[in-house]
Amino acid sequence: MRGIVMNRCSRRAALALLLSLIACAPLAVAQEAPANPIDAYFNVQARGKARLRASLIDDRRFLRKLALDIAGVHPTYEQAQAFVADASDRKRAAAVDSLLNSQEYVYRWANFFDEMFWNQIILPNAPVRNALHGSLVEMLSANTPWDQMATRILTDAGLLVREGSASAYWLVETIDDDYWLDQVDDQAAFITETMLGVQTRCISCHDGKGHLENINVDLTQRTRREFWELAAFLSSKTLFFPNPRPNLDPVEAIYEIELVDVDDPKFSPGRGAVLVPPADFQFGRYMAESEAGQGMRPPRNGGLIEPRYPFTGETPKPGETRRQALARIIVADRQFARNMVNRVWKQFFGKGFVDPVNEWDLARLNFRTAGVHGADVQPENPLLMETLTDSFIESGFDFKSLIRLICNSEWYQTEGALLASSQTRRLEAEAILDGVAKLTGVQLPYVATGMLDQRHTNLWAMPGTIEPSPGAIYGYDGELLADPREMGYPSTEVFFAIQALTLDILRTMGRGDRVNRQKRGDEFDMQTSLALMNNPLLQYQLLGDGNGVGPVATQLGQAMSLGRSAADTVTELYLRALFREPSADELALGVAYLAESSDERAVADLMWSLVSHADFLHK
Amino acid sequence: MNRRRFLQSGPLMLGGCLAMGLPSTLRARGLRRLPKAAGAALGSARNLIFIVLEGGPSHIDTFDLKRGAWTPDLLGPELLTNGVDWPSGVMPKLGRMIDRFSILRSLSAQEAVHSRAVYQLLTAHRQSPALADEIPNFVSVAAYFLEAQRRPNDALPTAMVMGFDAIGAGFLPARHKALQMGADGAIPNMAHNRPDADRRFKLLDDQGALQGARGDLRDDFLEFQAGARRLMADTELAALINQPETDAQEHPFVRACRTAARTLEADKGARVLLMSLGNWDHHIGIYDPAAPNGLAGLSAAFDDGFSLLIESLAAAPGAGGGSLLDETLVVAVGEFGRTIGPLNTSMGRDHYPYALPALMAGGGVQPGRVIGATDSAGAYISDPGWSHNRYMLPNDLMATIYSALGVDWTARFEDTPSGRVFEAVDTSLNGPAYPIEELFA
Repeated sequence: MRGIVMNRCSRRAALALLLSLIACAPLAVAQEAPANPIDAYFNVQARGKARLRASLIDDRRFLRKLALDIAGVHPTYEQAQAFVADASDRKRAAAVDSLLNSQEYVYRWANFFDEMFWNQIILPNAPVRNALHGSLVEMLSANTPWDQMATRILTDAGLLVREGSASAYWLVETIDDDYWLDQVDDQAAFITETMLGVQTRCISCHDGKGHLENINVDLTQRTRREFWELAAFLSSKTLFFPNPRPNLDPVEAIYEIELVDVDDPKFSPGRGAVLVPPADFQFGRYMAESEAGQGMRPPRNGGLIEPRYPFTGETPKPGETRRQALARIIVADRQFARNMVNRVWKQFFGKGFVDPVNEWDLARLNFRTAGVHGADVQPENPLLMETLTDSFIESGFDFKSLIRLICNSEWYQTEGALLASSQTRRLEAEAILDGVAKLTGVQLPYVATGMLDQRHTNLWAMPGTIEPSPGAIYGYDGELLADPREMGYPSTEVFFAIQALTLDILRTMGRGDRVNRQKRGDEFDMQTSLALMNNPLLQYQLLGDGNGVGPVATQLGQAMSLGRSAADTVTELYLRALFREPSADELALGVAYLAESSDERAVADLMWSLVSHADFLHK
Repeated sequence: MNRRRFLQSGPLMLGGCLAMGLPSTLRARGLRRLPKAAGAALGSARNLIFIVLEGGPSHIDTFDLKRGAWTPDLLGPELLTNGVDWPSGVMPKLGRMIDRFSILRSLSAQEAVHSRAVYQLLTAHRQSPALADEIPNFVSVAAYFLEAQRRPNDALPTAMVMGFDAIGAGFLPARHKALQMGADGAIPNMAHNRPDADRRFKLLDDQGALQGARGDLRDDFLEFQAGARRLMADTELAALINQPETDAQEHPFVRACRTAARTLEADKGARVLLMSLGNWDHHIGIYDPAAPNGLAGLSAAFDDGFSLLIESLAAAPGAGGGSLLDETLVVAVGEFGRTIGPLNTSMGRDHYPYALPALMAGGGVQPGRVIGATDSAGAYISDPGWSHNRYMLPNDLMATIYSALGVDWTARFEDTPSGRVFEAVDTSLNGPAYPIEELFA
């Protein structure tokens, strides 16, 4: 149950205190001190390591879960076979390291940030979306620490369209609002939401008091004026067009626009240059003044507002731009680390310590602060959350070390039944299509708008939610940029079909649509089931065409014709699709099916049916 | 019991909770129940067809005609026998059927931006970025409450949507999400189109039967899978519903209306249909007779579609002895009105929230009425025309729709992801909403 339950905290607080004392002294309880803080914590909660050990998942399912969580893709059958056969004690930790060093890890987590930042197409041919995506890929490849990533994005300046640009982060709100004060406010709210996990939009229209008592204790103490003070950190950031001239094609002009800070001493607009916001705001001031009907927020009458970080009261130092100051203050805020720990934890356990991940209540972090307000502690397992936060900060905001800590814990490798937060999750759309491609051996090449030089079989590498795109081969004016036959496709029609049908399947499977602000779905629906059974492209991969079935079904069919038993074939199919052996009933069902006809088409039918199996679609 | 399981235990349990008073956990939070008793809903309609005129038609050129120097001949204004001034030049069929539907003229929009206006019509809530993720489409809310009335052989889900990407089921279980259907009635990926389908599907179904309940998301998937199989197994469905294009000249909206009527006639479980006729955003060249999406062209499509709906539903038998129209509430409403008087400099009309007429037919609505009035210019509501002595708001319209369907429009959901109470019809910004009883009495 969520929500704030008043006056019910004392017993819980006492319990939390007791647990914290025990957790802080694991040596006193466990004979053998677990090195992993997650296990140290849950050994106490689960009352005994023996019980935890008893329910560790087997190697094959571990590898599937691990690969899907870290890299978003399935292991190959061969990788799983080799992993099971490996007798090394350290093989699980080695698998974690190997996946963290894979290119798939980079694409999966670039998508994680693309999604968090609503990175979307914005301009024709997607130059800024692709630039932000490219920066994310580059930073993740280098394992750039989260504080440095965030600083780079928060202080991004220069041409909107350039390699390494993070301007898409700023433009996402700019395109939604035509009223400048709204843009700045929305960007401030977006920053607290993405970087701190705190939803400050409420107080962008009204004080918290009298509105948020049942929602967020911390925000009830915060005022609209404090929100303005936060937004004032962004008031000196503006778009700058250095060289306006008549008859300039607006699309060309975009390539000349810069994101600048007018309080940067190095910035000096030339004569005739254009700053985009209206005159009131051109000197980098935040004037909290508006009238009814201006923008989407209630009118305001606040005068000149100076930047001040509401959560600590910090202000800019001499020599800093306002955005540099904000970046410095935010990354030093412990909540900045907590937010990322929480979001990463959710990726591995299906649910954050605080969930929804953008609904943190800073007054309910632990029993002491919550107790003051007579409210419940908000995070589940707050002590573990803080321990992981310490560890994340000590590691220098190192993602890989955080993920390593999670995945090497016995808790992660345990069946979910012990803890509510360890939930069954549906596979993402991209992971389902990866599973189909690996199962059948039919890999399809995808391309994205503005990235024609790259062809991917991994859909996580797509930079946006309207990709893969059949339109990628056309330029802004409809000119043909590349001939699909020269890109290796048998025909233009096949190229179109692969891109368009794949995009359609991804949407049906709930990938979400950042352009239309639709979030990734966390549930299936009837349309997903229909697509899994009947979508022509999936049928082509699974059931083949007039020329035969895919390579894996062909190979298994041929082995049967050479004398391999139906039982062995069915077992291998289950291992390939579900990473587990069939039950006796499942085996009998599959064997009976192959008894009727034991050719490769029957094998393909079994593959097709396993793709609609609940175990294939969940982790 | 987590939130999902709580909600999935369904209306029966919710009803039980209401009957016994609030569950103790809710009482502990001190949340108030509204004094309004549950079950006061009218329940005059079994089905709903809700048509959103996206873009926002000009009210003074359509359902609340105001003649002026600007009025072009093509509108063909005609004072009908019941005193309604009607643009018979572009909507001749509905002009002749003026006694078969009613017009609300004291409804006022609260939004003047497309996305926000549509959002309010689809959710009975003003759009709030803080809440958007969890707010369900009202058709999903209706499906939730009507779930107990579903029959074992119902192949289609309760809520269906044609013509636009609607908002999902929000915090409600995903099975209440509306199923998308094309204007021709086709549901994507319904046909298997491969030889040996029977054998293959028997394998799939047998395999499904071996998957027992696991008490997690996988059970939900198996439910959807079973639903999809029921849908595919219903061999009558396509013949009953699908309306392949026979006349390339026919507007897709007209085909969608035919599909909608046949979907209800088929009686396969679908009861709440959401449709759209877009492109009414006539900032430029509103009266241009050559523009396919000009006022004239769209009005003609609407005239054909809405009249077809009334006639087909009236000709089909309902479950209770009357016609299907008697049991089906048909509503058409825009996003907002458009600026009044002479045209703007682009020969168009811009967004104007203060008048938003709606057409209502069937489902217990007494036909031939005009409720409420605007002033002579169409600028503001001059006569509320109902007992609540204020102009009507979109949420009153939504309360009316819920009430007609027999859904308690005052229902509150306490356990949402954000912790905020979800009201079927939001009252936090405007106070209580009321069904427009004057339509039915």
